[in-house]
Amino acid sequence: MKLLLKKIINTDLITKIRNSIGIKKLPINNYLLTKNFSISDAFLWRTDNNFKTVFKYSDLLRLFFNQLNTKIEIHFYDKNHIFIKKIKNNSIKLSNILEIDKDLMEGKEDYGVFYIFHSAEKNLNSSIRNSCYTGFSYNNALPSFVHGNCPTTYQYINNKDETLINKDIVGLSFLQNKKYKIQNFFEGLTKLEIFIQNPTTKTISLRINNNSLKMYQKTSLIYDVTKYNEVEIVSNCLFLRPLIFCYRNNYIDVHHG
Amino acid sequence: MNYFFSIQNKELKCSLTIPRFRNHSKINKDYLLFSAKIDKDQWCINEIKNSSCNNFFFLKNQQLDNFQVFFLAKKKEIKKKFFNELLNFNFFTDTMPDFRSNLKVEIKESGFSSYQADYPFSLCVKKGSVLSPLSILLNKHADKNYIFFKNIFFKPIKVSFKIYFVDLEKKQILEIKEALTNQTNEIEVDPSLIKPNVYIFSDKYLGIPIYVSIKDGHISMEHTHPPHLYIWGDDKFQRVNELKNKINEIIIKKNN
Repeated sequence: MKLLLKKIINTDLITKIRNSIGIKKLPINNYLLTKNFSISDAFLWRTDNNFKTVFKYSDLLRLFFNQLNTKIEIHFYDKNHIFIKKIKNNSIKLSNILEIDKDLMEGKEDYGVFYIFHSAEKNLNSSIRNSCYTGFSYNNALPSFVHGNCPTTYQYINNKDETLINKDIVGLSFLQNKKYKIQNFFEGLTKLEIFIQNPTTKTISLRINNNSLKMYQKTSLIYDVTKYNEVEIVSNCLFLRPLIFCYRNNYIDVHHG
Repeated sequence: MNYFFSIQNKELKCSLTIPRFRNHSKINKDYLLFSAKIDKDQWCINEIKNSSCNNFFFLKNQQLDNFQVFFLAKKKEIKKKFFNELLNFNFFTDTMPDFRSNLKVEIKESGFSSYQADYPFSLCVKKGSVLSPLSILLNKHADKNYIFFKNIFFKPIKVSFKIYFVDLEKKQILEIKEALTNQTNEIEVDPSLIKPNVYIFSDKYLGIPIYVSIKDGHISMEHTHPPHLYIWGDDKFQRVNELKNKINEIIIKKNN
């Protein structure tokens, strides 16, 4: 009975209603994704302003499910979530590195997001979430690493037609009342940027320190907040935690807000 | 609730910023900053005064070490100075997304790097083992690579435990380091260990491994996720335990 009730209250429709009216909100709904999905965080790539991105990821299927000969695909999108390219790797190691520079990004000196999907021949009794690590190298210096932040997109683990499933993991509220105040005080910096991706398939409204913006589905934004010591984001998205780029002259510190 | 912690290292200057607000609400001035440190087999609790400014508590390098932990509590929740064990004093720091402080390490007039430095109480009351990949966050071409392995255990004890460097592919133990409970354990990592198949594995005690690389004055600091975070489903702990059992077998074989 308890299980049935849990099943009902976590259905798509009921979750949407809960999130809209603000009762028992569910920022990240993974309830229906617990078998045979490869779920990916949205990882930022940036090649603008002398940045390179390094992506380090593990073969999760080999590590946890003893599956050999597994494959991955990495799907790249620009900041407007226009598809750029797909990279496949059919011979991955336990730990892997991908360097993302403007040559890999078809000459683009810009930014956007990418997703990684693992695929297996056999079905699993679980799903896997890739929330691995991106490093950001500024002027060819040592990359500053951060872990994945927010599960956003998924496909079937044995996906044959390689299509993404266009359903949201992150919830939305009816009102623009979800506040996220970054729990850090910024001072002594020469530049401060935040990176946000709209993790949903709907347009979201947000205010960054009272500056109003709209972000279309899955688009991303690097926003300059150098003039502020504290940063607050108010939106109708229930999980909008930014990446932070702190600059002190040629040195950078990238971390989660 | 969360405890917060710091790093003490001879080349890195450290600072810790702890917010006085939850990430979705306003400042709550009822919550004060306390430190806890082992003193004669008890936890000695002290309020840290004069460290707040507006919305934050700020702790500087000279106030930090590898042993103290910090937490937010109301004065009335701390009724005595000595405790036999760390407690879950309140729920103020139980938030979604996670409540986070900001631990910053820096080299004078050079690089800096930050990490959230929150240690959930639920982790303090458990024993177990941590499995974490080495090459993902370290850089064999860096000038220095460190792991700072933080353990906070609710009992005020200093117990030695081992951290193994294991090659999962070759099923070999490459290196063994000693660590202590209730401290930040500094391990300088030899570049020859930074290989794709090498993981660290803590035996008997949990903790958070924080990886720091330094090159030409630039710093990168980040922690790894616990392995079960990569699996969504009912058998996630079973899967992780199976993997850890395999590593335990390698350790037993080595010890025999």
